[in-house]
Amino acid sequence: MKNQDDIYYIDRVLEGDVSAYAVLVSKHKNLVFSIALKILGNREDAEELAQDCFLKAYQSLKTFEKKSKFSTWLYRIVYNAAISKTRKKKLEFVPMDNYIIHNYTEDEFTAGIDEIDAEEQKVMIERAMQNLTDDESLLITLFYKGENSIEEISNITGLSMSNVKVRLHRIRKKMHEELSAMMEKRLN
Amino acid sequence: MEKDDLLKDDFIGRLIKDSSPEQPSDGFVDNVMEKIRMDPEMAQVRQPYYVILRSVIPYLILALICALIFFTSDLPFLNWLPGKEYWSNTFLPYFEMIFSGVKNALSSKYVSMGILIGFSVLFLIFIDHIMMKRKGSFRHHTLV
Repeated sequence: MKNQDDIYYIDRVLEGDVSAYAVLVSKHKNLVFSIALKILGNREDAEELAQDCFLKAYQSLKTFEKKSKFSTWLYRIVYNAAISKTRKKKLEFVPMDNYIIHNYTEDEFTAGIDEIDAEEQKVMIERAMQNLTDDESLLITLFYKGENSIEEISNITGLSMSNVKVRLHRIRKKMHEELSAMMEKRLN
Repeated sequence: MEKDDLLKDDFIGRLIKDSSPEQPSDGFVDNVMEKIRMDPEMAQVRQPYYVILRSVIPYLILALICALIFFTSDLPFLNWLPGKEYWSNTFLPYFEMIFSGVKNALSSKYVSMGILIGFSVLFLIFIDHIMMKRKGSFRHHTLV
């Protein structure tokens, strides 16, 4: 449904209605900016890169074949441009045993955090996200905020699907531990 | 499917979704649209050369030409299979003529020099073409 909306506006742009592109920019600006920011680590650079990527996407709109979602295509442009700008290495495969995954019970955690009010929950989750590495933060943003599937994230980042899945699983557990530690601190 | 598995009872996911996203400055959309107004040219889609082979039209034209030759000429199409006699008496003398002509032409030093220069120029154009192609692909590597 969401992608159908994008296609509608893309068609309008291709028919000559340039102002329709503003709708697409407005809809995707936060995620595009987030991706750029997570890779570049600087708000000014991220904003400039995000704007350039929107311009680049506009100029290449005729080459968008509509086989994938517009957002996936756009995020891939941003990801590649940001990686090129920083000359940073692309996301790498990390073997499974690099992290120690502790056991936890989901119910205990959920019950505990439910007692905390929404504002404090937001602060806690933002603090936990700050403790993630840039790569981890990027993946979690693409998955949860961008609502991209494993396959789409794989297309954007060039990681294999199984690698994306493993990494997301690991990041979730890592965040779970961070939040559990924060809650313990709060209770004590 | 995989996403569903990961999202199952995903409390963390819900919290992350609810958290406020990073936002660019207020004038972001206007700035992008301004950049587009300054440089509104859209890149044209370059059709790969092999796409023409997928079209029906060249094959139709070829079939029409064949049909035209077949129905208008008086060539013996139905007994066209050449025998050994045909090769030795008709075909080979032609080749012999062509080769002797080429041999005569190449025996002149001016012709040889001309051919050498021609080949050198073609080789340089070919190298230049390859180098420009590679440079172009680097320039556009960030685009999907």
